[in-house]
Amino acid sequence: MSKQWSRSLRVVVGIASAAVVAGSLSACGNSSDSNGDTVYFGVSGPKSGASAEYGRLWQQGFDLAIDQVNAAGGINGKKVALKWEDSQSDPKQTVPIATKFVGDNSIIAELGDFSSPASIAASPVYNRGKLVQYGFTNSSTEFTKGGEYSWSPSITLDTFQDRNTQWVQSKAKKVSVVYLETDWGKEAFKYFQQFAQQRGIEIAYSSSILPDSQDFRPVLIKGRDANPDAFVHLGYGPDGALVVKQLRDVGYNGQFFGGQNTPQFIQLAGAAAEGDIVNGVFSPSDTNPKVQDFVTKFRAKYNTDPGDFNVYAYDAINVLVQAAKSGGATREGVLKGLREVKNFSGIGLGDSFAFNQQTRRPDGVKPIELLLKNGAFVPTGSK
Amino acid sequence: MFDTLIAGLVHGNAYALIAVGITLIFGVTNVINFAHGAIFAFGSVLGWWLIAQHGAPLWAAIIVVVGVTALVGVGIDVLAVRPLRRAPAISALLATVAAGLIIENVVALIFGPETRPFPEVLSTNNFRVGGVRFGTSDVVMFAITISVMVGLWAFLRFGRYGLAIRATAQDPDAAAQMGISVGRIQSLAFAIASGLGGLAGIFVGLYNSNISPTSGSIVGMTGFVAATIGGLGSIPGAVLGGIVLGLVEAFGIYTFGDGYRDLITFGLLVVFLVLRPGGLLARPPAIESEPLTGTFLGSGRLLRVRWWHALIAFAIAGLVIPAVSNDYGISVGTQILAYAIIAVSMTLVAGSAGQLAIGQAGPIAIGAYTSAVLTVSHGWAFLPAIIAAGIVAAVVSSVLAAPLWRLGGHYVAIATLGIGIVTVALIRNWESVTRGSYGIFGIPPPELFGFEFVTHTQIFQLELVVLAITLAVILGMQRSRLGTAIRAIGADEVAARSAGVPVRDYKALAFAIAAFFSGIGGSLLAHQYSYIDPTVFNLPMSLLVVTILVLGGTASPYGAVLGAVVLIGAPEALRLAPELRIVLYGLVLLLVVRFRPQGILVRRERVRVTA
Repeated sequence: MSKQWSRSLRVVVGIASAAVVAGSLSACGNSSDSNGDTVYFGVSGPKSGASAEYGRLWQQGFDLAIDQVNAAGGINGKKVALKWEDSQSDPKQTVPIATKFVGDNSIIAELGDFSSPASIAASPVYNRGKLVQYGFTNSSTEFTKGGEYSWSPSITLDTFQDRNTQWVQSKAKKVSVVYLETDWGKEAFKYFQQFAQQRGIEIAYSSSILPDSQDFRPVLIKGRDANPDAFVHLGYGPDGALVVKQLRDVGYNGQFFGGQNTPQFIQLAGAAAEGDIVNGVFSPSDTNPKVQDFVTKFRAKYNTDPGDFNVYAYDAINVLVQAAKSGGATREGVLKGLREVKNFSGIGLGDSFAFNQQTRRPDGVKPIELLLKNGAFVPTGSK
Repeated sequence: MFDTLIAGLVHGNAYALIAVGITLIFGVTNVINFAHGAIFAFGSVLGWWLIAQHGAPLWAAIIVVVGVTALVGVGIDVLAVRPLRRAPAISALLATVAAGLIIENVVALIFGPETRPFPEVLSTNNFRVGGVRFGTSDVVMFAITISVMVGLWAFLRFGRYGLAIRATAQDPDAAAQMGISVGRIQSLAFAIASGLGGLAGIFVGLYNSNISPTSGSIVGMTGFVAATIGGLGSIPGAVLGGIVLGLVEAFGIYTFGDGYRDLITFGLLVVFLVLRPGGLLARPPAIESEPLTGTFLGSGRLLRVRWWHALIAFAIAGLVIPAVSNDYGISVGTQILAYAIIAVSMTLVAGSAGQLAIGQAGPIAIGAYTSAVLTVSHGWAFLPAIIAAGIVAAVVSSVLAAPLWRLGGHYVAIATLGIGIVTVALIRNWESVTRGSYGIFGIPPPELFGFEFVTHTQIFQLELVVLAITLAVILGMQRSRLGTAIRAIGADEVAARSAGVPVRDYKALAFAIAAFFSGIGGSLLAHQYSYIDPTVFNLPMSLLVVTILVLGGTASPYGAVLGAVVLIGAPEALRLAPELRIVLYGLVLLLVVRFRPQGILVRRERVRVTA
């Protein structure tokens, strides 16, 4: 009897303590910094998983910007630091992270996440918690509709594809297109189709490609057989590199539009991508002294050229710091700053811009045409 | 057309090399090695490191990579698989999942996560037939596949150790009695298979021209499909299966586009399992015993949990946790509960009926999408939508799974995995209703009779009630006559059939009930996330459900709840060490499976039952 009893007791204690442990898992991880000398930006971004590469590029941009901000006295004397949470850019994980950030009073604004769905899933939490969610790579037109706390400097996909078709039009009348089978890729293709029709570009063949595919030859063979004047890829760097290399393998040597303005894409694609045209916000060969200063410092710190994603991250910190300097180093201060400051500046976003208060995105920022020449993206000067 | 043929052959050849490794390990140890993809990726990254970073010549890189990956393979066997030889086969499978996670993330930590160009040590497009180019690398790879196949065949046919491998594959116990060191033979099989995986890593890296530490999972799954199509356990079958899969994929993708790739690959798997379960070369049924069944029940006795124990636990969970925990803890709690609901219902299938299903992301996705589409596009209220979610999940899953019940143990498990992936692929491609890859935004929070469950605490308490209902239903069923019949099937299917129990019908019924609650769980997840897209319902989700089940003890509903607490709580608790999070999670999983293979809430029998 007593043995039976002690066993039952152990079960009860076991279940109860497991439940309590689960409930208070985080209580320890949530000690907010109360000394007030440092303010934090929460970063929800990929550090592991398929998008980890972008998290690494962000980190470089963030670190450089934060070093400079703190060297220049921080935000009204307060130091700036980051609190990273690895989300794997997975919509399932961004929600608990958002809850954690909202509950941590030392955090005055959030940066990320990488993909629009991951950000959009967390938007309700940030908006209810009144914490600015600065989705600086979220080009989906849906993202900033999440609420008055969801902001993004990212150029929206419609603008991107409007410009993209403009470049395509000057080289081709008939194209084959591959695009990523993700919300981003499909939305990009939708706008591409729309603007291609307006500009009289015929889409001879199109297919989506799955993000985890490695061998695109069957699709590329069919696209090649449609006899296009140019081949268009709407996606990211690694898949763009595979597409352009395999395109050359199946014997297509015509004009390629695609890939991404990152050193990684250039390195992965190698000679196959020579002559490639992309949309970008930034080129290391830009002669603007402010840009050259940034490029020099970036090279000194990381021994490599910066790409778009380094610039996005670098600019994101600077914009939020500017906003906090103006509105105050608090959550409401950041929001106030984003609303009121009219002369934000950045490397990729131009020297002076303000946010449109309806869309919570900057107006009038346009991507530029970049041509891959001798292993570097250079601006063509097209307007 | 001819180009596509060449492209398919070249790619199929790569699948074949991987499938040979998977099929060899399966033949000898009866374990589906989910770490094989990670080994492949490790081989390709190591090859890159040696050649691109240290200027090693190709032949030296091949020798080192094959040697190192073979050692890693032995490590997996010794640390993860062999200690579980007497445990249910599913434990060893989960141990390989854990080992794969650890290898993949350690490789990413050491070498960096980024995709890199693989050096072009052999020309990849110097030949031209028709419009398509291929290179010396492809010819060399093809020659290697052929020689590997012939070599392995000769080794198995004539070699002393080959004979031992075959004997072990046929009957490990008899082999042991004949003086064969079964453990060493298993390690040998792991060494050969993993070395081949590493070799494949180099050549596929060369063929794709880019490599990354995370490329393994998709390659591993595809290799596994190829092995199954060829006939699990048959080496010529694996080669043939790889080439057939390569060709079908190439022509399928050529015709329909790459967006249909997973539908084509896993659709082919399901079609094969239904029409020709033994694969192309193996005679069905290739596997006589059903290693994934029965053994669960023999290995231990459930700890008893009385109703008032549960009541106390629920009272604590419902009242104390919201009081002591912060918002973040509660949001983790809501995830735990949603998975607990799913896992509890699965105990009826996996535990009672002894039939493991590893594609539960399918029914979960059906439930989530039904509920989301009905509330967002058709303005339904939450309550009818969640009930509809359960019903649709149960009906659709039952229809899809209907042809499976005449198959045996392993094959059903594999087929459910395929069906799970096919279901999600169908959802993605049925864009007019499901919005496909765009995902569904703005799913309203749960609402009952005008009350909206907005905060995490409210959702937590709602889910706690649903979990209590689920537990009551499942426990009630286990104790009813129906439960006895289902348990009889799990204990001994042949005996149950002889006693007049309609085995197939009961299995299908148990599966339908589990799918109903999985649909409910999926609906709760959808309303809690407010956003879903097809990538949410991926293979890791299915594996998570299985892991929760096994951890709790497959037949124990309370154990399933505890399993959900541990397995969803652990990665969140490990956020303290963000860089090592997934590696540590893999270690925790490995240790738990290693030391409690029979489940947390199951007591080991004092007299060891040797299966």
